[in-house]
Amino acid sequence: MAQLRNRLKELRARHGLTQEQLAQAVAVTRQTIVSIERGDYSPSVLLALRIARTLYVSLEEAFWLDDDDNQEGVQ
Amino acid sequence: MKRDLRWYYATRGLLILAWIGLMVLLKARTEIILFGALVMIILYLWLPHSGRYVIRTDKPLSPLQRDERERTISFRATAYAFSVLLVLLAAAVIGAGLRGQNTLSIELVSTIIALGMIIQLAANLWLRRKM
Repeated sequence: MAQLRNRLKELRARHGLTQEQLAQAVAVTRQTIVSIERGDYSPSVLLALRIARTLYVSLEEAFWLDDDDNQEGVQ
Repeated sequence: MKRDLRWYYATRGLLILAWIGLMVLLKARTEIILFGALVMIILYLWLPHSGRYVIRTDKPLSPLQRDERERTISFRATAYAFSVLLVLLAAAVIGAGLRGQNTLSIELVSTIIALGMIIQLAANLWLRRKM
């Protein structure tokens, strides 16, 4: 089954943001950011978009599917 | 970042005073009133620092809001507890039927409800570690 991966830690560091600062910027708890970074929690599309916007990247740059089949989608 | 929680503390202080007033009217024992007030004070002081809530200063009267992960945890824990509660109640009803009884004792139902509450709490803690 496909897993949602992310590079939040790297992007956050690039902007010099702490987990707490990112959490406040997107209106969630720091623990939620910790869980997303660890891959324990998959955010909603809305939260993923808010995070991507806060980090000035597209959704796909911040989050992507680690798919075993590496499918490109339905042709 | 320092967040303004004056309204939160002020309204919770009023809630504690209202609770104390109600308990005095109901002629509760002084130790019970003081213990309850102390528990409420500790709880209201701890909650903003518990890491379980987002602090919304634009909502001064209810600044502590659950975020989506907290809501997911709470919903799933409640769903697990409710499922177990239904299974236990069904088992109790079937068991009573097999024994030829057509009623459930209040003690048994109370125990099942208490078990449901414990399962909700345990599931909440488990999901918090897992998610």
